[in-house]
Amino acid sequence: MGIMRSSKLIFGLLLATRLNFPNEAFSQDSSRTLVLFPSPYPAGAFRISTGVSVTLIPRAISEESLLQLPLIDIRSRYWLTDNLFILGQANVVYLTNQVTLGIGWSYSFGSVSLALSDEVGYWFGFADFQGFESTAMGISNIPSVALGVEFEEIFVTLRTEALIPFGQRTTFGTASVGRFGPRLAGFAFTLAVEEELWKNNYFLYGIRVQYSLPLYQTWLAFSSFNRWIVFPGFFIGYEL
Amino acid sequence: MMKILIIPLLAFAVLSCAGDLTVSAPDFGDNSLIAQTSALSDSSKLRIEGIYSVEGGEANFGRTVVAKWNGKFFSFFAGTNSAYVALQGGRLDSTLVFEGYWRYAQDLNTGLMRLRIEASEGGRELSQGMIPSVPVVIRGSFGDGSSQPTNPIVLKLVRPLSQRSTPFWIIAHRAGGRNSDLLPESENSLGIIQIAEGLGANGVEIDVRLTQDGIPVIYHDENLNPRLVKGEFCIGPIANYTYAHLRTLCTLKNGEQIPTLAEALETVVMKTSLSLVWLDIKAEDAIAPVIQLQRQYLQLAASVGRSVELLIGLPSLSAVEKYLADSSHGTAPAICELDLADVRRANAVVWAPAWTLGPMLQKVTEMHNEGRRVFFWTLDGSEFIKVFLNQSMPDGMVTNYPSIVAYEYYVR
Repeated sequence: MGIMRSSKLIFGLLLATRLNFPNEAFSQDSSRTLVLFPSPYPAGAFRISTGVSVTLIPRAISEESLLQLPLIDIRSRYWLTDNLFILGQANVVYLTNQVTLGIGWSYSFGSVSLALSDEVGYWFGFADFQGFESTAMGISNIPSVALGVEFEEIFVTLRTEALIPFGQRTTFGTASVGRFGPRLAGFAFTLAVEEELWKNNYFLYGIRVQYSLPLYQTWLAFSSFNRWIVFPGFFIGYEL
Repeated sequence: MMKILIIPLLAFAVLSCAGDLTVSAPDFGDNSLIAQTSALSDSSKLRIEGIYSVEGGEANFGRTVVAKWNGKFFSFFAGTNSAYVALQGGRLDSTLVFEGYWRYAQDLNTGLMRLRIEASEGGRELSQGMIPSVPVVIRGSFGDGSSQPTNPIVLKLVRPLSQRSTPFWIIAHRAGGRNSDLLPESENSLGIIQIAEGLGANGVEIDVRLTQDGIPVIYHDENLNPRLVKGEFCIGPIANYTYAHLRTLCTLKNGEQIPTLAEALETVVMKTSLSLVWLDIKAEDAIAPVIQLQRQYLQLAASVGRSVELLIGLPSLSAVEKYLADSSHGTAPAICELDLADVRRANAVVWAPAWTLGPMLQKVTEMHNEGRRVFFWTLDGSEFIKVFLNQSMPDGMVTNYPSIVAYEYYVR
């Protein structure tokens, strides 16, 4: 019954985007498809980027001991229709990893573009070095809205995410502890720039400021703060 | 080009705005009633301890709290919001009066609280050290921040605390908690040692380093840094500074002096009822002078009738070697964080594994069978604390939140 309802919803979304409002989708050059800029593109367009990202762990949590490793950062988008796209992101470094997959809808008004999306994130981490015999995993929901503006071939995207963990499980030695139930754990704001390096070769870079409870990036600190903290982050990548 | 500069400038703005938070412990100031009260007897204090039901403050403190005297503090530990209450009390005729503050340990919320046990609700007998003939009821109010308390709260004694022949050690990390927990005193300060009991601890863990001129001081990090100290010229390894320089140039985060180990041990022995100190040796060269101070302050404690354990922490193999190389090690009780073989080699009285290795019940049992105790470090989340209390049967825990361990331990 649930699957039937979901199928109808997805079909309805696809139909709605096929019968979309007149917009600038078809004016976009599919050879210039961007991975972050929230503009519509022709169905079948695909873009993937690879790079690195780092989240700075505040001193209150890291003190002087927590190593802040950059994560391999892979992002991609694929347009199912001119407006409807699926998106995914992977941040991996063995100790701490997150993979997200979601669906979004985009629309353009001249040089301004807007996208709404929702992603499900699965994070996991391993700590099997001296003093640790721990693993952790969790699932979260990440709805977001992105606004993009083009300035003379520089594509600027401002994205706001709500961070809603559904649950997590931590294992230490032979024991484990689970924590379940969705709750709003914070917001993240990303300001990204995509810019052409040379002919149709784009790179992206930006900052991401997360204002939240300690989340997956800090699982190894086992922080139990019940207050929102600012986690600044940076990323840079190349769009393949 | 200007456009590209926007992002670094914004990043700089964001990082610059992340200032330090502070949370003060509110007090009644001139409105305090405690100065007018007389001290309670030990038997009165014991009869007030127990598990209480909560009416009127459930949203803040849950339905059940643990009430316990620790030194001069009468504290409540709650299972909701990681709340605790640190009060001081006395008797006014036949009424018992308590006042102090409440705080959410993992949050920023705090406020004043004033409570009474009226003569007709047990105060008459309790003020004379007798067993109350009626169920004990504590009534009063609590407020937000420094505003006068107006929210009513009623606590009814459900049962006394279970008495055990040996204590369970609730050991406050860094003498009470980290600076990031925004306590009213800095971590590893003389002030925080004096409030640790109010937070629920009966022991403290303190970090020992050596100054350039060989003075053992209590300080956690290898370097002087803005997380721990204030002072324009306070940078770099603390071991590069003489003690006189530290006193002149640097203060701890809340303005206190960086204490010497001797000052810290003097404070523990003379100004608290704490019964255990874990001397976490951060600089191995400190082992020899620390053993001397350990002996000196154990003698002081004995001379004033205090029973305190001062344990030399051995966190690494090289620390074990230094410890064993000291001719006095046989009379210097130690606590070892390494494998069981190293615990036995050092003949440590306590094995202290990291909790992230798991409950390890079999190894805990082995240690118990050899007459050694087991303390896990550093447990902060209530769900993790419960697992260890139930699956591992340790003798104590190091924690940044003694109030949470106290609640989980006493309500079992």
